[in-house]
Amino acid sequence: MAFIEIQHISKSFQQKVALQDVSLSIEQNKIYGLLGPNGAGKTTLIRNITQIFFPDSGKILWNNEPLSEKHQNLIGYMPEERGLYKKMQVGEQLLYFAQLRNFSKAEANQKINYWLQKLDIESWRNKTIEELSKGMQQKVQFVATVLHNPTLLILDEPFSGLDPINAELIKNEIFELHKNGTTIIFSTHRMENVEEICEDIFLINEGKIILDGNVQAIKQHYKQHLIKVEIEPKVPVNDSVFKQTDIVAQAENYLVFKLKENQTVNDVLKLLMLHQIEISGVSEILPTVNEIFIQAVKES
Amino acid sequence: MTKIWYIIQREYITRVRKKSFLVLTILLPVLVGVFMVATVRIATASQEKLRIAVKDESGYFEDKFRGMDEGESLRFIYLTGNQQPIDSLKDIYQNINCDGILYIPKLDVDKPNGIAYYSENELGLGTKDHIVKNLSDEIRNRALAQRNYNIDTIEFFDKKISVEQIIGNEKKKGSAEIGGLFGYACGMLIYVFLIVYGAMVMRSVTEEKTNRIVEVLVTTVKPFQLMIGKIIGIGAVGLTQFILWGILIFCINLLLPLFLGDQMMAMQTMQQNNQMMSNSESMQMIAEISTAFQDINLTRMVFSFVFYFIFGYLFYASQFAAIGAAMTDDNDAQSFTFPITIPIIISMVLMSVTLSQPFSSAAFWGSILPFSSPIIMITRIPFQVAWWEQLLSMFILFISSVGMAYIAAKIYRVGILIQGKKVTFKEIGKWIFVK
Repeated sequence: MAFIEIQHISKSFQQKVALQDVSLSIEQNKIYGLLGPNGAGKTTLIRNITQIFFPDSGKILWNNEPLSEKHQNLIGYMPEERGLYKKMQVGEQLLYFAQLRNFSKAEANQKINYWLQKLDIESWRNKTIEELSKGMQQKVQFVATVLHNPTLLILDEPFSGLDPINAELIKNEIFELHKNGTTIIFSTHRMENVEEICEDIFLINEGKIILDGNVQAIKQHYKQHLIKVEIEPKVPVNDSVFKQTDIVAQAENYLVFKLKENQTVNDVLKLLMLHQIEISGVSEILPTVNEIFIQAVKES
Repeated sequence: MTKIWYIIQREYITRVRKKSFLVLTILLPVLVGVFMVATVRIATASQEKLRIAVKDESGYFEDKFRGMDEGESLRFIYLTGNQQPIDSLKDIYQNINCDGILYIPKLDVDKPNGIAYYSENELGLGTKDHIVKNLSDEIRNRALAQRNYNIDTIEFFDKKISVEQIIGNEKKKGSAEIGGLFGYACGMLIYVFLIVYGAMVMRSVTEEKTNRIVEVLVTTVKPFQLMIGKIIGIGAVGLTQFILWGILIFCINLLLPLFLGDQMMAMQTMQQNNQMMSNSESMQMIAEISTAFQDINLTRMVFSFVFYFIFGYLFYASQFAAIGAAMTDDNDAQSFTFPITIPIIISMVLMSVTLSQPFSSAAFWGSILPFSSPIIMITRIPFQVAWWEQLLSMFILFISSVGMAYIAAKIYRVGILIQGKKVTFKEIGKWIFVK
C-alpha cells in the first residue's frame, strides 16, 4: 500500500497551469528522484506535499488519511535556495526551528547536540551564519531539515555548493536516514546523483507526470538494444561482419552493435568468432537517466 | 499559539539584542541630556556677569534695586549717600569694580526722562529688559498713585477675562488648547510609531523573502502565524524602545540638577526674564496646565491611547507586511509604500484641523475612518468627544484591522513565495482570492 497517494491534483496560478491531473504513489522507505526541466512544476508539486499550497482539485493522502496540518511535523523540506537567518547563531537558529516543530527546549537541545556532533560541527554552535562559508551553511541547513527525524524528507538540490568531501558526508547521512526508514524525495538536475541514489523516479514536464517508475525498469524500457563488445585489436574486422550487423560505433578495441529484430547477442558473438575476432568482454549498453530525461521530455 | 509565541520571541530578542537597538535606545536620551546640559552650560557661560552701580537721585528705587540681583550674573551696587555728580562718577565706576553705572536723575513721573546707562559695553537684551521693566513698573505705579488711582483697582482692570465652557452639564475647568496639545502629542506618538515600526515590519518580511528562509518556515507554521508573530514581535520592540526612552529621559531630567546645580537655576531665571514673564503669569500658566489635565479624563485617554496604538499599528503593519511580501527588492519600496503612507500623512495634516476645529466634519470623519482614526480620534478625545463617536470609531478600527490582517495574510501567503518577478497592484489584488 502506498504511503503517500497523490490523486489527480491540479494547481493553477491565474492563467498558468502548474500541475495538471498529477497522480503518484510514494511507498515508504524508498528514495525517489523528482526530475523535470525548469518550470515543469516540481516545486509546485513539492509545495503541495509540504502544504505551502493546496491543490485546486484532487487530493493527497498520507497513510490513507487526507494530508493535514498534523503531518507537517513528519516532513522535512530543504529547498533549493537555502534560507537561514544570517545574524543568528547556529545553535539559536536550530533551536528556533526545532521549537517551531513543537520540541521542548530540552528535547531540541538534545537533538541539536546529536547532529552537531555527528556532522562534526559543534564548534560552530555560537557562530553566526554570516561567519560560515556557503558549504558550511549548507550543512547547518541540512541539520535544520532533519533535526525532527522526519518520516518524509524532501531535498531540493541538496549537494549544490558542497565540496566533494561534504557532498559525500551528506550523501551518507541520506543513506543512513533511508536505512532508518525515512522516505526521501530528491529533486535534482544532477543525473549522476539520481543514478547513484534513487530507486524510483518521477519525471514531470509542463505540469504532467510523463515518466514514473523504477530506475532499472525505465532503463530497460528505454534501452536501444545496444551491445558493446570489447575485442583484441589484432585481427581487422571483416566487411562481412559490417554487412550482417548494425555497428553504430567502433574503435580499435571495441564495437557497439545495435541488435536487429530477432537478432540475439549470441548471434553477434558467433559471427565475430567465425571471423577469428578475439573477444575480451561483452556488455549491454543501457541509456543513462540523462538520456532518458532528454528523450522523454522531447517526446512529451 | 505556541508557534506564534516563538516567532514573537525571535523577532523581539534578535532585535533588542542588536547593538544598534541598544545604542539608539540609550544614546537618544543621553544625547537629549547632553544637549540640555550643553545648552544650559553654553547659555550660562556666555551670560554676562555684570556689576552695575546705581546712582539714583530720584530716591524712588532704593528698595527696588536690592531685590533685582540675579545670583552672580547681575549685581546692582546702589550708591547710597554718594553726593558726587554723575559727570565725575561716569568715568570712575571701574574704580569701584563695576561694569557700568545706571543714572536715574530726579524724575518727573509724567515725563521720566534722563535715565542713562554709562559703560564701555552695551547691555544684553535680557538685562536691559530686566532693568527697563522694573523701572517702568515703579514709575507707572507712582504715576497712578499721583493721580489717586488705586493700584488694586488698576490691577483688577488689567485682568484677562475668561469664557467658561459648560459641556453637557459639566463645567470645563481647563484650557482646551492645552488638552488639545496633549492629544496632539499622543497622536504624534502614534504617527511616529506607525511609520517607523510599520516600515520595520516591511523590511523584515522582504529580508525573509529574499534570503528564502520563508520557504522553510511556511512548512512548519502558517503564513498568517508568521506574519502576526512578526507584527507583534516588532511592535513589542517599538513599545520597549518608547518605554525605555520615557524612563531614561525622566531619569536624566531628574539627574540634570546634579550636573548643572546653580547654572540651571540661573538659566530658569534668565529664561523667565527673557520672556518678561512675571511670577504670577507663570504660576497662572502652571495652574492652567494643571486644571486642563484635571479636565482630561485620564483613564479614558490612557485606555483610548492603548487601543488606538495597538489596533492602528495592526491596521498599518499588516499593510506593510503585505507590501513587504510583494516586493522583490528594496527598489520597489518607494512605489509600493506610497499608497500606505499617504493616508498617514493626510492624518498628520488633519491633526492641525482637528486642533482648531475638533467638531468639524473633517475631524469627525477623520476620527471615524480607520485610515486616520488612530491619529485623529486620540487628538479629539481631550475635547470631550461623545462616547458614541469614539465607540463607533473603535468598532470600525477593530473590524478593519482584523479584516486588514486577514487580507494582508492572503497577500503575504502568495507574495512571500514569488521570486524574481516584479508584480503589479492588480496582481496583488488577485492574490487575495488565490485558494
